[in-house]
Parts: sequence; structure tokens; C-alpha cells
Amino acid sequence: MIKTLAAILLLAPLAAAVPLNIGVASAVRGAVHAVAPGAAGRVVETGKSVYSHDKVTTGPEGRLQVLLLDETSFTMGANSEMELDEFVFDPATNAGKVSAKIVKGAFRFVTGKVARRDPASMQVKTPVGTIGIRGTMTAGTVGDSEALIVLLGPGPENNADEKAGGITVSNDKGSTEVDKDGWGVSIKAGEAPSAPFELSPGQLEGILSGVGSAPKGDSKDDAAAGDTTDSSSGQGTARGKDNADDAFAALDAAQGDTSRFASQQFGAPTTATWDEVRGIPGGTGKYSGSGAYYNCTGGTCATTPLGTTTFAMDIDFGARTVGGGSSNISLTSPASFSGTIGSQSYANMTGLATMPLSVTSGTGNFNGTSLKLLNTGGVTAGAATIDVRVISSLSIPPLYGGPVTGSLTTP
Amino acid sequence: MKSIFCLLLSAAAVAASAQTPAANVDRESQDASRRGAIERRAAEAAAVAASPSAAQDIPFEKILAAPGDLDLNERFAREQINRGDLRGAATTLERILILAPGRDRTRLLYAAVLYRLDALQDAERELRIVLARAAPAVVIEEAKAYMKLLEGRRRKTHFDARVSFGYGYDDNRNSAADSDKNLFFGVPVLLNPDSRRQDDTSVTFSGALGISRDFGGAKPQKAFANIAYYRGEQTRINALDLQAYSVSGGFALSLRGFEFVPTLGFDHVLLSQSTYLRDVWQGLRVSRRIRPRVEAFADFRYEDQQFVRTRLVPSAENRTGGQWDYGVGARWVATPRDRIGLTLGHRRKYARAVAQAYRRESLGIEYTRLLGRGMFLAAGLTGQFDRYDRPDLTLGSQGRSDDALVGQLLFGAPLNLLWKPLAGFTGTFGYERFRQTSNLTNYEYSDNRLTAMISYKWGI
Repeated sequence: MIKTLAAILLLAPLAAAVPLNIGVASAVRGAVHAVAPGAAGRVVETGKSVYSHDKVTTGPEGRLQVLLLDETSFTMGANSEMELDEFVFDPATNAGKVSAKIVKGAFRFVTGKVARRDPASMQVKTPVGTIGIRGTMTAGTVGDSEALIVLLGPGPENNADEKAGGITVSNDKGSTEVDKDGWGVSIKAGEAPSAPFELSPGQLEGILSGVGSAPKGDSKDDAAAGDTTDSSSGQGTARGKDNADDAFAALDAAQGDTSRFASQQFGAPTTATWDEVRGIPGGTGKYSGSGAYYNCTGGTCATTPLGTTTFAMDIDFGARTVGGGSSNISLTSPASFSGTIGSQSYANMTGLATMPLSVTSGTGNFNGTSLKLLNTGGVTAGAATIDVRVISSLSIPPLYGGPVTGSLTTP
Repeated sequence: MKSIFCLLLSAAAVAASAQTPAANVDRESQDASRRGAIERRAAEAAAVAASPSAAQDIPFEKILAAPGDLDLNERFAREQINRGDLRGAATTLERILILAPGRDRTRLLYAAVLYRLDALQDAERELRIVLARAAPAVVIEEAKAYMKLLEGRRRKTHFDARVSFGYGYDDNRNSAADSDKNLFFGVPVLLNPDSRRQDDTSVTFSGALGISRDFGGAKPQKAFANIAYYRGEQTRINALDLQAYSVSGGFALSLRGFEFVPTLGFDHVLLSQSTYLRDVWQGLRVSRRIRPRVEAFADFRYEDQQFVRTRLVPSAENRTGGQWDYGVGARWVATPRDRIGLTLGHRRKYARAVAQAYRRESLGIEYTRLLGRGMFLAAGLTGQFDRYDRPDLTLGSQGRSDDALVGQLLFGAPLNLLWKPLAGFTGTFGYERFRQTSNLTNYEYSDNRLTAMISYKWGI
């Protein structure tokens, strides 16, 4: 690599003596002339070479595109002048240097391989400032004492997987960065570049029409016929990326992780069977939970919560009993009932793990209260639901109740 | 040394080109005295084009040798587009238009390339020229369509909305253990039939609304907000009916080559119609293009997860606690059609019940193939390795370690390929294979999921 670059640099004196071809005038309209240092001027036509240190000028109707060996392109409008200062390019590594000076007129350039590899390797000078590149399409107009330079792209929303372009315009008075397409700077002789600003439609049109092509006459048939632009521009393909992103967004909305977590971690609760519960050979635990109670007068419970039911109930898998010990249940405001859950055996129960619950209370009558053990979270009998029914011990309505579920904890 | 030869060869090609310029040069740009020479060169170029190698990639040297050959340039531009060199294609098309400004289809293609490059001012100018011409109707129609797209993209405020309807099938929707047994106090207990593996189908709906607003300043910076709703209704296992509301908002800020996207969000998840999870989260993504086709990123996200006890999941609260996610990765655009992503992640989940707290390491790789005409095929493979802090004594004294492998395959296509009036609709078909191994039999299971979805998206 070093050898290569060194070898290229060694060519420099040779290049000074014999101008080095650095590219080609790839499109010419109207009058375009070039002059190399120490040589006579020549007419530039499409396909003619351009050389390092060439000074290229376009006439009143002239248009020119110069294509350098690294695929950098410069386009010049009418009455423009450009000097190709320096060009070094190693095709094996894309290392090199590109330097040009826009002396006057409208111009546009698109960076090539050298600037793509190392943006600092390309500079475009004007009489009033220098444009530093960060992978970009840039245009402008240059006069003797002022310049207007605009960043054309690629913009941040490009779907070509291109890095968004940027330029830094500087002179000895200051420096301004432009990071947004359609924005630019103006520079006047002896002054620092302006702050970046969004060019007006008129300013943009002034630049683009100066450097762009305009058709005259009839529409011409061309090679693209028969193919949709969506297809030939790759826009149809790029749209697939948007569709893929949308599909993934829709799948993300499904909260897949949460859904799987819910089922994986807890499983869909189902009523256990007494056989399953008896399959647990030993250990003790406690179900505890709280929830709303409702007005259940008339047989079915209403849907408006009235107060809170809490319960704690022991289970002894070895002895095959539920309740007993400090097992209790209570309802608070507006009702105020509490009772203790007596010890009951499930040793001989069959079928689903449900049973009437025996609750003794001094203030209420819990007749009709029932217990259901649930398999949940991959745990047999991992939760218990107590469906409460309670009425004043004097059997005076109202009747309160509703299901309350609690999970199992172990000592 | 080889480089020097290349350089000299390139220079020689340029020098030769001075003697061998263009074929098929637009005559408007040439005077009569050059016509004879041009026609000779056209014959030479045609011979080259007709040679067997013409079907292969066109070398840049050939363009340098014949930059005025319009058809060669047109083919070269398409090759540049196909290999993703849109800036190069713009240069080539501009060249054609300097020489042959009356080529309206080429100008339309040039505008489309500029649009794809987000060089909107340039693109708009070219489209206006096409629209002002007496071009073929199909060209005008396409130009109008691009102008509409362009006007949409130039708005500072963007709205978009998406709705999706889908149908899914899981062969183990309840994530039941393969062994049909669960540990309880260290003893494997046979699950009752209802708790064993159950397949199920589901109908899903999701909708999302988004808004983004460009700040209008000198830097490309914007604010965005999204609101989304999801509903999944199981056919049989209604306990796993899921609804989710999500609201999020943030900023996308560019600074010195980095993009920062700080986001705040809130999710509300209902399981079987009962609130199951409330989740306030904050995230930050930092990304940077490190190579022309490679973007590296780092993600951070913290979720304050509040699980709510439900009748069906009474121990949900045990999972309440913070969740920290850190990820780094890269996306590589291997070709304009092929994208590869790699993500490394670490998660720390805290929980009220320490037995539910865990650390996760994850590694994911994804590949997307753009098939053209809006179609895509995506495949992903993710490994997740969870290590729980403490044993769940309800299950036994053994600590829990889960290793999961998730494979995904997704195909999508615009439905107007089948029937034109379905423009805007996209159909997707997906398959997901989830396989988890665990040292606890409870958590060793697999699930195969098939999904079909139709989506419609609006954007202004």
C-alpha cells in the first residue's frame, strides 16, 4: 500500500511534465474549451480526455460533465470555469486525492470512490471558500466575490442505504457545516460563510437550472421503454424493506414476549383434580389473596365492587388437609365480617379439586362459601379461589360475596 | 505495483477514448462534421455490445472509452442501480440527459433515482420537466405518482396509520411441558389433561397511528409519537386472550455522525380482559454508519414492569420489578437486496419474588432478502440463555436455567400483485419455531406457530 502510494506520488513530476489523464469529458453540449499549463487551448468534445491542472471553460450555451477515474463527476453550466487541481487515485484501495477549483458559474458534483473511502481526501475550492465533503451531492453558483452552495443529498430519508451527505464550507474567516439536503450557505469575499439556511425555491431553481439539462422539441423514445420506473429505479425492491419493517412492527405489537411469558411462566390456569393434589407427597404452604366483593342478593352477584375480601389459608400436602391453623377470611367496609377456616381433609375427595369450605364466624354466616384449587404457572394447586358467600349471622340481607384468588407461597 | 498498472491502464483507456468516442450520441449535441466519425464509433460500440461479454457487468473503463454511448450508459445506469450505486447511477443518467435532453423516460428514471437518494429538490425539478412534456401517457402517470410520493416526503409533518388482521395457529399455545409433568416440591407431578399441550388458533387485529415532525432546523432532527393497539382472541384457550395498548414518543437527533433516538413509552397489557401488565419504559438507541453499508448500533431500555394479579394468574405480582436491556449490533446491507443483522443482548430482570429474577444473554441473527416488487423474505434465529437468581422452592431446590432457540421465517408481498384494486395491502405469512430446554421439566417445551396477516397502511 505504502509502496503503491509512493509510486503514484513519484509519478507527480512526470505528471507535471506530461499532463496526466485523470478522466474524460463525458458529456459536452455547446462550446467547451480546456487549456493545460504550458499548452495551447483545445476544444473539448464528448469522450475527450481531461488532464490534471486543466482549466475548463464553458460557453454561453455550454454544458459539461467531467467524469474522473474514481467516478467523481463535475457538471458545469453555461459560462462556467473550473480548474482540475489535483487527482491521485489508487484503484486497488480507492485511496487518493481530488481537488478542484470552481472559478465561476454553476456547478454540481457527485463524489466518487476517493471521497467515499475518505471524505477528507476531496476538496472543492471557490474564490471565496472551500467545500469539504462528507459523501455527497452538492451544487452551487460561484461569482468573483460570492458563492451560493447547496447540499442536494443524499438525504437522511434515502432508501438507497446511502450515508446522508454533508459538507463543510470554510475560509480563513470561519466554517459552516451543512447536514440537510436543500440547505446551504452563502459566502462573500472577506467574510465568513453564513449560517446554514434553507434555500428558497427560487434560489434552488436558479442553481439547478444553471447546471441541469432542459429538453427542447419532441419527446424521444428511449431504451427504458417497456419497463416501469418503479422496477428500473429499484424503488419497488426498496419498498420491500418498508413492507418488512411494517410486518415486524405488526408482529411487535402482538407483544409476543409478554404473551409467551404469560403462558410459559404461569400457564393457563385450570382447575386441579384431587388426584393431582394428592400426587404431591409432602410440604406445606399458604394461599393468600385479596379482591373485591359484591352484592350477591338475589342469587347472582352484581358487578359493582363494594369492598375488599382478604384470605389466608394453609395447605398441608403431607397430611392432605386445607385450612386450620391461622387460616382466615375477612370482608371490610362497608361490610365487616371475618371468620376462621377450619381444617378439612381432601384425602378421600374425588374429581375436580373443589369443596365447600367450613368457615366459623361470630359475626357472619359463611354458608355457601366454596374452595377451588387451580393448576397455574406449571404448578399443581399453585393457586386457590375462594368463592365467598356471607350474610349477617342474623340472616338479614344483604348477602355479599364473589370469587377471590390467591397464590401459593411456601415457608 | 498492480495498482500502478491499473492506474496506467485506466489512464490509457482514457487516452484511447480520446480517439474512440461515442456511439449512438444524441445528434442534437453534435455538429455535422463529426457525424461520420460518430457513426463509425457507433458501429464499433455496437459490435462490443453484441459480444458475449456484453451480457456481463459493464466495466467502468468501457464508459470512459465511450461516454457518449447513450444505450451503453443506460445499461450501465441500471447495473449501478442493481448493485446499489445510486449516486453513480445519478451521474450516468445526468450524462445521458445532457447529451439527449429529450429522453423523457430516462429523465423520469433520473428523478426516481434522485427521489430514492432523498435529493428531493433535484428530483422535483426533473419531474416537473417530465410533466410539462408531451411524453407518453405511462411516463406522465408514473411521474405524477412520484410527484405525489415526493410531496409526501417533503412535508415536515407526517402521519401514518396501519391496520392488520391476522389468523394464527400454535401447536402448544399454553406452553405446556413436553414431559406432561411439572415439578412440585421436587416431585414430578403428572399434569391433568387440560394442562397438557394444547393447540389453538387465534384471530388477531392490530392498529397503529404515528406522527412525526421535522424540527425544521439545520440538522435532520425530528420528534415522533406512536399509539398502537393489539388484540388477539384465542379460539379455545380464552385465558390467553391478549390486548395491548402502547403509547410512545421520542426524538431522532443527528449529531456528529451519530443518530440518537431517546424514547419514552407506556404499555398496558390485558390478559383475558383483566389488566395484567403496566409498563413504563424508556429507551435510547445510538447508531452510526461505520462503513458505507454497515450501521452499528447500541440499544438501552429500562422497563418498570408492574404485573397485576388476575383471577387467572394470581401470582403475577411476583414478577413486578425493573427490567434492563442492553444490546449492541450491526446491520449490513450486503447487496441492495440482502440485509444481514446481528444483535448481542443482555437483560437483567428484577422481580418481587427473587425466584423470578433472572439474567439473559442473547444472540440474534436475521437476514432479509428483498425479492423485488415490494416482496420480501425474512429469516431470523435467536438464542436466549436465562439464568434465574434463586430456586423456586415451590418447584424444588434446584436453580433454574433455560436455553431457548427461536427460528422465524416471514414472507410478505403486496397484494396488488394478485389483484390491482388491493393496492396498499400487504400479505404476510410467517412460521416460528420456539424450542426451550431447561433443567426443570416445567419449562422444557416447544411451540410451532403459523401466522397469516393482511395489513393496510396509509401515509401522508
